[in-house]
Amino acid sequence: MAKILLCEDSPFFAQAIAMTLKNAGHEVIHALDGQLGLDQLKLAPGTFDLILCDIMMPNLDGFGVLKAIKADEGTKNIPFIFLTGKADMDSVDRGTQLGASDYFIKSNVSMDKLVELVKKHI
Amino acid sequence: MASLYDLELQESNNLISALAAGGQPLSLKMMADMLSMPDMKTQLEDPTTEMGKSYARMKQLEKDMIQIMKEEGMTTELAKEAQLILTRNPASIADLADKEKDVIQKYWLTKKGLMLKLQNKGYTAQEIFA
Repeated sequence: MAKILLCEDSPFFAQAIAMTLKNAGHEVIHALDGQLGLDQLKLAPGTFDLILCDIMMPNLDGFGVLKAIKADEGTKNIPFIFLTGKADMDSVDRGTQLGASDYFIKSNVSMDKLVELVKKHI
Repeated sequence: MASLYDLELQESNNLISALAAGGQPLSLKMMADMLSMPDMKTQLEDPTTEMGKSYARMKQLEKDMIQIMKEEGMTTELAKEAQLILTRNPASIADLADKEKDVIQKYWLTKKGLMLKLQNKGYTAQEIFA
């Protein structure tokens, strides 16, 4: 079982993701934007096994979250997966260069694919 | 500098993906996938659970979206074409060929009408962009 931080500003989509991952035996902590996500990491340092993060979010976008995580010794090695509606290659490249572990485009999402992707990185 | 794609996603998040999928919100696509699991199916089909309420709401949104897409002239093809153009990350409308400009402008105009009708039906932005 993994403890997963999910940063996603769509409550409906987050609900579906969380339910899928909880059904697969994981604990999911949901944050509605990037800054709230970073706050969750500070509240419980060293306890998260994976971060699933949308790119387009208010307050702090996914790229901002990734940069902050990589700049912190306590979080830089947590696997980070973009779960995003941004389907352009520039975003994929940018995420990879910043150190994202993987990338998942929402329009291709399926329950099985998501569970397998998480399993691959924990 | 924000590209046209960034502007599209900032304004309406995943809506373009829903329109390109014929009106099915992304979250509904995910929820529908869960129906193959008996435990999840039970929750989704129970309107007294939070998940059940969301599922029912998203299914209604899909029905209304399909209807309003027809009324406003938003086709799946138009949304797909716009999505293809936008995911190339053009910096501005001026960077597009004339035919592509027409597609984007038609898509944006039609989308505005669609969003207004959905909001008039009582849907929130969070629901429309789910």
